[in-house]
Amino acid sequence: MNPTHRSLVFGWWSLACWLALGMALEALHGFKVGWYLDVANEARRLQWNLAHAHGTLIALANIAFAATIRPRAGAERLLARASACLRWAGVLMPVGFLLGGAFAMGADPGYAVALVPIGGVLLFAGVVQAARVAAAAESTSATPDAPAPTLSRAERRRKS
Amino acid sequence: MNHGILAAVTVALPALALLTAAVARRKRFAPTAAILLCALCGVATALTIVQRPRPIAERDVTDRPIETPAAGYVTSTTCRACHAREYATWHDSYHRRMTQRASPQAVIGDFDDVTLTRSAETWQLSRDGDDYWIDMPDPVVAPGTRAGRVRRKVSMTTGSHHMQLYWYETGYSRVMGLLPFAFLNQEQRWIPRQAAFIQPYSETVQLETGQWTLVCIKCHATHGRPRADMDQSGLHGADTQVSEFAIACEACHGPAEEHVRANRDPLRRYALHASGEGDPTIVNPARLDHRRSVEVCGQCHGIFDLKLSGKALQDYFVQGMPYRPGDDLSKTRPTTQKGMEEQFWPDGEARVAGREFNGISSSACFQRGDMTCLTCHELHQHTGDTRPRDEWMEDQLHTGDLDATCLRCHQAIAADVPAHTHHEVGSTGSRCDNCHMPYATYGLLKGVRSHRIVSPDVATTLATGRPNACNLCHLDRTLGWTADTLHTWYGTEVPNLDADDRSIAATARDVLKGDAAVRALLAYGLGWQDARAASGQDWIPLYLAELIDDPYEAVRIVATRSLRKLPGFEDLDPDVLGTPEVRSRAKAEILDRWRSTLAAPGDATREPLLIAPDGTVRDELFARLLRRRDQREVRLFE
Repeated sequence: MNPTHRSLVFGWWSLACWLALGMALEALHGFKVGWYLDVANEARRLQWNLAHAHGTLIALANIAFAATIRPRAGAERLLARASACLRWAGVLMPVGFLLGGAFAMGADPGYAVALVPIGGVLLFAGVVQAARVAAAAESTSATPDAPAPTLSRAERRRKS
Repeated sequence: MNHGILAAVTVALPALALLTAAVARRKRFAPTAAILLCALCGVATALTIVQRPRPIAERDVTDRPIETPAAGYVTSTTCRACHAREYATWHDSYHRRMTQRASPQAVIGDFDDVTLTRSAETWQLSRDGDDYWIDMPDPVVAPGTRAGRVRRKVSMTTGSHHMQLYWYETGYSRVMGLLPFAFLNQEQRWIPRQAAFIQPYSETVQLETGQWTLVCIKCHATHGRPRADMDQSGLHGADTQVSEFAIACEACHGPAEEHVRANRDPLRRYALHASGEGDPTIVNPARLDHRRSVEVCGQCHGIFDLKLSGKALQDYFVQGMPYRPGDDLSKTRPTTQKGMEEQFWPDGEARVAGREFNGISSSACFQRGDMTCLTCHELHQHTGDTRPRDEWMEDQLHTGDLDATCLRCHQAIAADVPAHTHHEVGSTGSRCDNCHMPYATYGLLKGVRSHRIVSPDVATTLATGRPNACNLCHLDRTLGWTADTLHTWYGTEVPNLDADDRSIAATARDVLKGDAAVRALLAYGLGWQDARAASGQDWIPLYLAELIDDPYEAVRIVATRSLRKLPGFEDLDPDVLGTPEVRSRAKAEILDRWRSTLAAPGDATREPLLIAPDGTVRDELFARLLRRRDQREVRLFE
């Protein structure tokens, strides 16, 4: 399975998963469940909202990545890294919020919230790498007469 | 927003939209129409902003004490960001409402053009929007002249649970005067403020001008600074400030500025979570040594010698009390009885409610154990507590079995509870507090449990006049019965008892002979459901009728509340604050109704209650005890 396809599959399943959480949260609202709505559980409510929002949006980002980025010769590793970063971000950030909310300690989320900044870094890295892949694709498609596709820095190192 | 403008905008905008749509059909006018629409929306928005009433900034208020945090206090608003649950439970509590700015949310009294009268003077209460006003006799009267009338704005309230008092702006800097009437929450009616407290009737109306700044501020606000201009001749003005009007977070946890600063660091917070240790930057009374913990509540719930004179007194008038939670309270506010004897029973137990520190700190459970206020009370309702908030707020006790709390230490009793209590398990007589914390202190127009934890003892009753726990439940029994029973059950020595103590029920004796505070306690006790269940209640109206005509107004109010709990008397609403003639008629009506409902004449068990077997009252005994009533004046400072 190529990286974009992985991102596509991950994106849709992830979207299904976090949308399901969204429905669960709506049900908790609907039935006025104190464990979620009471003022004492404000941290849980916030964290789970963030889990739902981040999970859904990163899933969409993965789908967008798969739909818009095309594999190009010479950019495979960059593409693979971008896809992996986006997928891991799509796991770590929402799961960090979800578990942080489930085991909130007063106003502070539980220890699992430590996953969130890691996921955040991966998301940022994934987006930057996706941008680089997109830029590489643009440069190769915009200059069809160019003598050779641009090699990434790592590939140049390997060749030499 | 001004209602007129709101209406105009509401009409104008749809009209404009329709106009725009019509014009836009001719495409070349479309940009012009869009710009016009945007401009008009902008004008409407600007008008909304301009017209919106803006509250006066607190620092610009000149006629009442103001909230301005200082000296490391940050106010509950800051605490709420991280401690939402604690904030919410505190916010619903009566501590939060002790002092409030007068607003529709705070005021429970009826200000709907009400006229109140006392000592041939009238006070007219009214409301104008969100403001509350008093039209009243001018308190500043030149000698030899008659008072004119002035209109004063009510700007602060005190209390919300049982009654509410109202402070008005005097016009002299931030010095406040007190409306001489209180609004009773239970009855939803106004009474003269003096009638709400145990004190002899006086025609003189007490306005308590300046008292909030000089006295109330200590405990009815957080970090109060009187900033009073005082000298030997009195109070000349005040720039009174508080960190918060309520008895708020920092009243018990101390100033929180350092705590807030330190906990901006998430690593520090998680290190504290992981260690389970307390945070040294804030005081948590639950983690303090039991003496320091009790003192946090004791800073207000006690009777103190402020030990202030000279510079300390001047400092107090400027900066307020120096005590901070966690400090040794005895260094700044040692408890005392000196000069306050009236507030204590002769054996040193406080007889006025709200002074529980004096009681608990003289109890063996505190002195030899580690009992604190938090052993029974919780200031933040526990997350697992399913009681409605209103129920929890009533006394802020833990959920569950409070007896189990006692039995954690008293394990020998726990092994066989009936052997100790001689009452059926689960009955009211088997409850620890009913025997060891009887309703022997008075305040807020009711009996309140004594917080000096002691065992019932007739000798103490004889020595102090304080009703004992047995006779506060077994209202129809004599002291002799109690002494003999305690001797049989516990080997307690039987004191010397006179013939009356052996033949007349302790309650009957004390209602007729006791001082005003004892009578107030019994007026409450006669309505106590547990006592009525243990003692029968068909005889009770006889004694409540006597208390309805008591010389003390507070006793009459308490007696009325008890009377209305009795079957057949629920509808009675005697004017107990009326003239002696009115009260006398009310008493006669109660007695008539009682005689008509008295069941089963011929019951000899009523003899100790001065009721003959034929149902007639032993008038000569009644009169003899009344003649021997303790007529000393009693004033209880709540």
